[in-house]
Amino acid sequence: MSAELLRVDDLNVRVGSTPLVQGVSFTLGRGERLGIIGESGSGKTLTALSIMGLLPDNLDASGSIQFDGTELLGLSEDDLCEVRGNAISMIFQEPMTALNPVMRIGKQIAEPLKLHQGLSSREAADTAVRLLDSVGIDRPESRVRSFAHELSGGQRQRAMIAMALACGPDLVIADEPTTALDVTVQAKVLGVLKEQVVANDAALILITHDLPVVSAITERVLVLRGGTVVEQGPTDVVFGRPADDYTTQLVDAVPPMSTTANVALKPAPEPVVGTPLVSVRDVHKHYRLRRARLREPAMVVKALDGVSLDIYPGETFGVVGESGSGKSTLARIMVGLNRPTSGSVVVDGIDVSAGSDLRPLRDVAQMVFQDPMGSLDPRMRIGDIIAEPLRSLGTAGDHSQRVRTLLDAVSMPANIADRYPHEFSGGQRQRIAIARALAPNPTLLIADEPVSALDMSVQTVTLDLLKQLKEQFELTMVFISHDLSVVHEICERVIVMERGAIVERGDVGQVFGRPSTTYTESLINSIPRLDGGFLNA
Amino acid sequence: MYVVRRVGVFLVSLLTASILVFVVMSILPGDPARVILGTQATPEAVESLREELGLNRSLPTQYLDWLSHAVRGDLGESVFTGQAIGPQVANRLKITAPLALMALTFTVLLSFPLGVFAAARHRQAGDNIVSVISQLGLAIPAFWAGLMLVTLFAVRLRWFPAGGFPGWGDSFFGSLKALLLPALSLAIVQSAIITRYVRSAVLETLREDYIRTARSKGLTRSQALWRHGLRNAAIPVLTILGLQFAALLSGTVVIESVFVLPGLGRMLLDGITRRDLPLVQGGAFVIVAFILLINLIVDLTYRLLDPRVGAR
Repeated sequence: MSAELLRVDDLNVRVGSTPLVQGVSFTLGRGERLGIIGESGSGKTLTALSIMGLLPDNLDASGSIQFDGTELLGLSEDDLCEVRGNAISMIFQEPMTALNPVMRIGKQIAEPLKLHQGLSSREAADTAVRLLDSVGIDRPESRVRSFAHELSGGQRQRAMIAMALACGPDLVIADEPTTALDVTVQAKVLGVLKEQVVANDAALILITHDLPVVSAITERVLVLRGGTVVEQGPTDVVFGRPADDYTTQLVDAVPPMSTTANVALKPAPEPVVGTPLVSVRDVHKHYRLRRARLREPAMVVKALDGVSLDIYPGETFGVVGESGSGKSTLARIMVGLNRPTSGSVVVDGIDVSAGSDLRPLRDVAQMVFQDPMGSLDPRMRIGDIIAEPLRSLGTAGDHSQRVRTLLDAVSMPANIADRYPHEFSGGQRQRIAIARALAPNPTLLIADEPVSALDMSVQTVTLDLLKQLKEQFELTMVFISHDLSVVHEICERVIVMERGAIVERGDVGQVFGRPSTTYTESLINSIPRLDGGFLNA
Repeated sequence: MYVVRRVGVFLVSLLTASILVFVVMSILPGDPARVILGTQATPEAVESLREELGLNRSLPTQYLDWLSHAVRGDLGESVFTGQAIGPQVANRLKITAPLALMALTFTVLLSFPLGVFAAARHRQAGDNIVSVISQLGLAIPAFWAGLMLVTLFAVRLRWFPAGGFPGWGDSFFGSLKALLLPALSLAIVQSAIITRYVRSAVLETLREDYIRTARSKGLTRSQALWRHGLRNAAIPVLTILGLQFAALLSGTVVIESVFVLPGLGRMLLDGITRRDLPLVQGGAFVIVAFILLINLIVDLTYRLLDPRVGAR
């Protein structure tokens, strides 16, 4: 092994007297790539921020962090500023909010160069162009003048990588760098990250909840749980023969699509019968953009471009596609939250596209949204949240019995009805959201990315719950996700959407096993796999 | 396109405001003809004067007539003095506009540093002191602040005049000096409000991810605040500043009386007590136009600060 670059020894982080990180120790050699795996609350981000000296003010770190022979804990703020962005740099999860919205990209990349290398503005600007070029952004000389909102998610994260590597750091810390990106983009960005780190002889700490991502990039891995290290070692050994129960659990939670290169063909579902519950015919949804200049014609965005489909009673119907492909628009139109520009949508005999009085529809179709934090009113009690659909649908009387039944159905104790959403974890909140959706006893449940905001192990539990509820309440389910593995697991039939149109449809096993379009194929090949092969897809 | 749209909104608002001002004035009790002729006048005399003044025509006709003159700067004549209102308003505006703009400048100069200072020392002594000061500022009415300033700087120290206005032509610096204390009294109240907005906007900005990114690049706390935080924090404050300008202008009515300044506010006050409706109408319209103009400038500045505005 190469010379030691970083030695973290008995790191403890606490807020007041509550420990958040306890006794974390590890070392990192020059040019080595280490993965830190853990679910939310495991302390992985706090560990990273401790190394950067950027912990929030109310947190205290103790122990020792030796970087290149210097003790970082207790180093003065001035000295830390010399280290940050120069010898150690960081890449954050959400490039949209991590970049300054009102400063041009080039200027943001040039900033550490001027600060640490004393380059003039002109030299730094030239270097920024070169850096953008090296992370694979085309037309870098004009892109340096762009603002963050003018770039795509992938381009923004490439720009973040360029910024982190500007001063040729010895260590790059990447905190969930691709979690916010589409799979195909994730594969490319991870490729760039690895290539740039290697080209710069930098060491890398990659923090993520995604095991396949870690296995593709890193040589060693550290598994954190509740602020302590449960296991560490070479990545292939830890994932191949996990020694700890928790690691085993994490490895088992990796969806089957990510463990093998060949998607096992799912048995074909029973042929659909009867009349469709949902019937979508040639639906278009166009948005007219405001003109940027007087002489330009107004731009029209076709969010949906001639979509037709039938969903039959009792099936679980998957909708996959990248962000911007029209998945959520389709869902919103099916429950009447948006009106289509043209075309018809009929749900259980109710013409949703006419959209006069949609109240009868609320008894039939309900929706579960992605973000369980944002979709529950923080100032309403759980019981009121769940009973609200009943009240607004005019069902009189005391709903407390119904609320108890529903809470029980989603495996939550009945006595939480008096509490508020912030007291619950993401997974628990999503259960509450599901209970609310089930309140009017719908026949159709539309779930828009219901598990995307949840930790891997919570995802598994929530998916199992949805499967069980589907049987118990005899639901028809529409399951929308960018995550093919999840759809593969839960759905029988699926459509693949690209730019507002359905490009492929059929049984899940057939579509995922023998994709007929290159788009579907690239979606499948980009799924991170434990063998790491997706990076070269 | 954004600029075209904003200017369009400005013109439509201006037109709407002119209609509102006109309608409100005509609903108000008090017939201008009767006011001019006094209580002893015969109904016939009043009627003939109404005809002469065009008051017996339909409301829309009167409005269009008034508007077509107003766009050429002719706001009619005062029923009390018989003088043309346009030039009179223009003259008064030469005092009120600089007074308001000076007050606005003082507000920015006071509130931005104080707000940023308080945010940078969040929950420390400095923050609390600023908080107490701004509470005090909020509680003080502008006219009382004016009186205190006069007592201190005019009566005791004799640095500034206690009131009156020499005129820009006669003494430029004297005029500036005469506006200083009134502008300051207006600014004290406004700064108290704006300081709180600046403080919370900066605090909000400091919690943003891009500030953390900036610090991960090696910027110190204050470098991150100055280079990345301020411009972002200024965006929401600017909107408030535009809205508060209306409050500031209405404050001039009182302050001009306190400092005996012959400004637009004083003119309006006099016009109202004399039931000089055309004068009030003209004055009110010009004040509304001024407020709309400032908000147009705010909207256009917004575009300069935030590249996302008008991009879609």
